[in-house]
Amino acid sequence: MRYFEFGILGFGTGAVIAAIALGLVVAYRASGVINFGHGAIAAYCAYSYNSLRTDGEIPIPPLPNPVAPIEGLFNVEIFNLPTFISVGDSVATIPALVIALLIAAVLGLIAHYAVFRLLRYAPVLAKVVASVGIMILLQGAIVIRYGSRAKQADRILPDDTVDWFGATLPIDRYLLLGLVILLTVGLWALFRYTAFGVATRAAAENERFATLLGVNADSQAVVSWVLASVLAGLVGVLASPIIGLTPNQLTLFIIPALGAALLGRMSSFVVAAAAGVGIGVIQSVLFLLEQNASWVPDLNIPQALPFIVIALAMILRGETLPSRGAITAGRLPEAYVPKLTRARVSAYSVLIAVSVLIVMFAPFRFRSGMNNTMVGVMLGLSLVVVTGYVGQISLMQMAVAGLGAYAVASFGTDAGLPFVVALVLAVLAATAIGAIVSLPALRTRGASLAVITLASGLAIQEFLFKHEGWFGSADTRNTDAPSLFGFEMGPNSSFPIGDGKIPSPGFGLLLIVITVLCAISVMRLRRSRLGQQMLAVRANERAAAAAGISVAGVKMSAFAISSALAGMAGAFTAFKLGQFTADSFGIFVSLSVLAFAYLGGISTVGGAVMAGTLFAEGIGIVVTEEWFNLNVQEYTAYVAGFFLILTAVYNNEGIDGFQRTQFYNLVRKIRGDRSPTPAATAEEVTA
Amino acid sequence: MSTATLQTKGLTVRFGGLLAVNDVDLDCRPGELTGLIGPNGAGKTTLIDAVTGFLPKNASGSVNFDGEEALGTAPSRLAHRGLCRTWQTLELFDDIDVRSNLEVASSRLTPMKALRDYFRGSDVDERIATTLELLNLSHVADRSPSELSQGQRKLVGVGRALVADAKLLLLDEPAAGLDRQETVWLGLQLRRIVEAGTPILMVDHDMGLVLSVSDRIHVLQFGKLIASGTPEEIRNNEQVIAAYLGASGGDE
Amino acid sequence: MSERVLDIKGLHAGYDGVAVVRDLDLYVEGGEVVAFLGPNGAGKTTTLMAVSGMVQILDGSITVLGRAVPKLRQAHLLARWGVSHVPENRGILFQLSVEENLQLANRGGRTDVTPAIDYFPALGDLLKRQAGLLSGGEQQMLAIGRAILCKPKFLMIDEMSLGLAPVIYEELMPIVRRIADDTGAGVLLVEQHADLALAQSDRAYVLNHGDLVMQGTAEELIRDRHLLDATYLGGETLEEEPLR
Repeated sequence: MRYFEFGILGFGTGAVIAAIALGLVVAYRASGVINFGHGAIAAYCAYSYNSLRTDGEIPIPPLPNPVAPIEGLFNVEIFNLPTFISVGDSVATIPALVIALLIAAVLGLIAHYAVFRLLRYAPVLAKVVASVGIMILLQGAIVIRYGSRAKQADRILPDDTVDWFGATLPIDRYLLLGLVILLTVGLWALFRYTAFGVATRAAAENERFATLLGVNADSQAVVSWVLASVLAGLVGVLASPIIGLTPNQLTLFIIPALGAALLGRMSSFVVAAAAGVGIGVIQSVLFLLEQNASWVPDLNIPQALPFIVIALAMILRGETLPSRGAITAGRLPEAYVPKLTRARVSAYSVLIAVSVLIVMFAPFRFRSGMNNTMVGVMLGLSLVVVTGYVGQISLMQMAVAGLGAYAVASFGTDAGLPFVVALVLAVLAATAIGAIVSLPALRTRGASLAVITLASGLAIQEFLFKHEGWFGSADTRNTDAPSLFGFEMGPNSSFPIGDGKIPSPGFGLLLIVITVLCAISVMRLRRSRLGQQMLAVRANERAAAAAGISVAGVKMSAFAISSALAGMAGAFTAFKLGQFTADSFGIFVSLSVLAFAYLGGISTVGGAVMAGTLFAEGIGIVVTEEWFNLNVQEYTAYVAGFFLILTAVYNNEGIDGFQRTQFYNLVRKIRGDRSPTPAATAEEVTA
Repeated sequence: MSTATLQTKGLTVRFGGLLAVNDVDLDCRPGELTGLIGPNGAGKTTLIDAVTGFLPKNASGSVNFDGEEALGTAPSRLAHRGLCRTWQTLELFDDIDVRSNLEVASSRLTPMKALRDYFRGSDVDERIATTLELLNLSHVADRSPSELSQGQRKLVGVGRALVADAKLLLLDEPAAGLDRQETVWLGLQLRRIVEAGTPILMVDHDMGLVLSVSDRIHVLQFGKLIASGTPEEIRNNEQVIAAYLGASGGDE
Repeated sequence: MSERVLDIKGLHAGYDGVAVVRDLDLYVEGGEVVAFLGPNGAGKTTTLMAVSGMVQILDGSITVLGRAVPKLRQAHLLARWGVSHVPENRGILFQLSVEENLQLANRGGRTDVTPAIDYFPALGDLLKRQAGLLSGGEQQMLAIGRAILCKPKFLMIDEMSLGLAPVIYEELMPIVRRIADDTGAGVLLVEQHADLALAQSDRAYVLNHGDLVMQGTAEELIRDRHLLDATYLGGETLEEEPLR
């Protein structure tokens, strides 16, 4: 009986998962985009509604203040950007709900007009990246405006209980279930019987044919985006008292929702909604089982359920999603061959020399910023290999890094192995696990791959890192300082040169050496035969197979190499902090790693270096904070999301690519050369 | 004939209820350029897809390539055995230069080879240079395929197939999108390849090209083989003329 | 003389900046059927796609019903102006029913499907069937029937006989003539089977390797059949030898 009760209680989360899944299906059918930010839209609406109810305020997303650096430099305030629009003390339920849903509609419109409409003919990679950007952006905006602590959510549905089927349970669960059923039937009928539905189905099957018949795929998409967002917003508002109001929770409901939507092949409303409710119910029952039944192993199974569902969906439904008869596809970012010209070598030497000076003599924050940057560069490099060279998206880099960190803590500190041995073992462990996790990914690509890596990342985080007794009860595990030839090189070890303060220059130097080695390895990879094959696979899997390239083998090596780099970064994160903590390797950190890597330039080593400076508390951030007195730390995720979208839409080669073309144009201008020569030759020109 | 490089027997390809290729027996012999023609939708590209292993679920019958059964073998494996193809839509690797496009296909990369290559650097492959020379592409070897003329791009695709130690080249519409001069020039290059020892099976719509460079020609219509023979025989075959100009049109 | 529904001047069009069609001049007037002939790969489909705004115009101009062809993003407007384009693979949406496919001819509101059934009575019994299950001939009827419901002022049909048995397309071909005569629409008919198309056409253009090689009235082209044959069966080689 208790299981029955818990099952019914699961309708609450189930309804949210189902509603987000419905929204995903609507948006996919109308525009071919899997929107990873759909849960975040629901969260943003729920927060807006609550803000209206309690304080009568509509949140304004943080806007850039153009004069902020000047303000910081001179310590004055010129501009004071508004953070909220006040509409009275507190707004009644219905108007607040209406305004919240309007906000949802506007978010849908913005997602369409400012992002996906511009990416209509872009490669899948750009679309996925942009939608991840939306997810980080909205989640970041919520954290900035409301903080990351849980809030009390205002209730719309009645608080009563009813006594049905012999169990006394809150009525809101039944109401939410009823609402989801209503929405599902409504959507089904809309797509089945109306002219809008016929046109949308036509455009989803073949956009070119539909266009020839006068169907405006664009206007179909507008309606669908608004519909999808309002749906998510509505259920988000109604269900937040049940599931709790935190910035991450609703945002991460995207993962089980993706599972449900994938089970419905991103096209069936009924299957998606049923699967969504099912996941909620099963999760709830499993939770009780794990608490009570002795035969159920304590494995955090409820947390891993979404991953299991997605893996199942991939196996049951095959690797193919219904694809649209797309019209054109844009190009992927250029992966320049690294040419070690004299100019380039000297530029890199200067860069390394400056880094060395910073870690040895600069003040505390700069030194620590430099260390963070080095770790960020390694993470960036790991994505350059898998995303830049092979065109596969990985949203689980931090989870792999976490495995490296955990392994180095286990082998080094717990098992007492020497530093070098522990590090090598940790990297190997990360490599192996990365390669294994990539196995289901080998048959998929594009958006499906992003989904499965996101789910794997969350599963590793929830299932392994947070598991009591496996990875340490308090989510932490101590890590001893690395030592080489009896020389301690940890962040707190003493070092003969410098001011003797922490972090120790010894650790910084060690990091620089390792990072430079990693960067050189990746450059070499680009020029090697394997690197050529990676780019061939990225360009065209079918032709690569016909040219005798083992596509699965190349993808797997890319995942393995990428995981090795991420594991290395993770190990050094553990050394840096002196311990392994699950929070440093969370899913949102993975997403912002992708954001910065993409922003820096996903397909070049220079891009990874750029990404490292921007990465959380990296040297670039420290410099802005220290010199311009700006508090950017809080805005990192938000800004990352913003720039990720911008990069995906306008300049998919990132800062590094931008710098190359701009620099090249400048050189051309100076030389008075007007012949159109591609940017790829920029290096030769600088020589 | 047992000496044929490629021999299909009863090759059939079904897509659901549609018979795209229907019980086709054809062959390609060493030292010959074989043409495969037919009206649009006759099943020519489908036949090439089936032979090169891209339609494992749809194809039945038998395909003997170089003495071994080819049906049911993965495309990359067939490529290693020397069955190499190009596409109508080119499908070049635009991200890497012309030489790399050839290098990528030139040898099988085992993990050991990959490691050796990574640490010691790539060996210079003589065949790449000779192939680039053969196809008159040496002077553009360091450029991206996207910067080349359409005719040169076609040849990069051919070159990529050649360096993989091709025992047979399957070319799908090499002349599509070329102007007449480029087509004539391409025809000459193809003859040079055959003379240099690699037989070719070529699908093309350009009857002029196929009739002038082929040694033998097979004609498909509605998935069935309707004629096989020398260019002279094909040119005078009433059934072929009817297939091309419309059934009621061949009444003169 | 009737208005020109299509006027192409000096067109270069193609993919990725590479011209597949070069320097093409072509026009169609209301009420006439114009055959657009040439061997496959000649650039006929590319031309039609350029008219529908789906292929880049590299040079020259295309005027449809008095207006310039819109960009890809706005390509759906053409259908609303009264241009109907039956593409090479017929443009049938397989997952929709026959009726839904016909409904697409008219956005917003119910479409009266009777005009289509008047031309193709067979479609009347198939309305509820999923379009993917139709035979090739039925699909072609559906495609043309749908085009009729669009009430086009200008109709383009690409390769109507593709994959169809001769009995079927010989039946379909005269209907194109009927549409032009009944509605006064201009029709541009792309065909590989020259004789069939010429029998129903007023004028014709012949394209080979992206270049216009012949044009004239249907009678002129039928008279110069040997030239046409040469284009199809490889002019370059045939010229050196006595013709059949």
